[in-house]
Amino acid sequence: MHIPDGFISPSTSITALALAAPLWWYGMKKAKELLDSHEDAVTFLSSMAAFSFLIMMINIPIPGGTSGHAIGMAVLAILLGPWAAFIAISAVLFFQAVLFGDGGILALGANSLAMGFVGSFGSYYFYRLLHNRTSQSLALFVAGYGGMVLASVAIALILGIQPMLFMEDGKALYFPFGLDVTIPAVVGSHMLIFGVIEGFVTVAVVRFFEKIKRVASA
Amino acid sequence: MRKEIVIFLIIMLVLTPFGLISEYPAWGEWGIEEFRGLVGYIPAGMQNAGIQAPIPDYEFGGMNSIFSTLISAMIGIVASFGFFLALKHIKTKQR
Repeated sequence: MHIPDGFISPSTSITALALAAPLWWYGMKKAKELLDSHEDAVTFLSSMAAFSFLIMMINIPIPGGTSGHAIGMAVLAILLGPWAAFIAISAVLFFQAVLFGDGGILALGANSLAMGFVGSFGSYYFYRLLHNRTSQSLALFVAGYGGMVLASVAIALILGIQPMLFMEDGKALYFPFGLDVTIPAVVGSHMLIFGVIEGFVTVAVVRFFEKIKRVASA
Repeated sequence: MRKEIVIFLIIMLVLTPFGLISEYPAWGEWGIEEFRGLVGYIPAGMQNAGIQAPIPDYEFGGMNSIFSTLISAMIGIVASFGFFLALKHIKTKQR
């Protein structure tokens, strides 16, 4: 789901950066509040960001010669709140782009908005909607699944509008496949496989931390 | 709780080399040469885009890919802690 540089136009990248900038600013303030709230917060926030970094490295192959990975967006959004989750995922995406060439640097705004903002807030509100209304495991699963699918919709839209906007002599200047291709390919694979994986990861990891928290407070 | 977090991160770290099983990139994240095969040309905007990352694809040139992955994963952990420690520090400085 990491959009590399050159796959979307500079104008798309800059628009996304301009949209992301105030959200990053506000999110940093919220993350700082969390960091100052108690002594262990920095350890917990950093560990959750590291968790997101690590789980994104675990590529899972699927039929059709492609692969994908979980993101941990719902885990972070539920345990840290959506703003801190957005900042943590954005920071991870920044390091992935700058150090490892995974996702573009100019495309950081677009990737952060999709995986960080849409994913975290989507997951968070799915969870809020279902929490205490269904079983906890179902609420967690839907949070992970729903956030992931929403993030994939955002990525599919950003990529798919490129050939609608930027053509020259009948050739695409950037990503050449339109929405008719990106929606089934990106959203479809996330609805069928990666959303499900994200859902199970969310259940397992949040339940683990709920358990150790209870042990710690007991 | 700190002990459990350390165990949790070690488990995650040990799992990262399993990501190497997948030979294929994510859908759409192909190298630019592959677009020639898919659409018959390389889109002009894709050429010479981006920078050469210091550790492309989490691989250190010439190093065993499992070690490369583990070292990259550790760099990711250090960077994550560095970022939030810095963020915490900035706050105290402002006050």
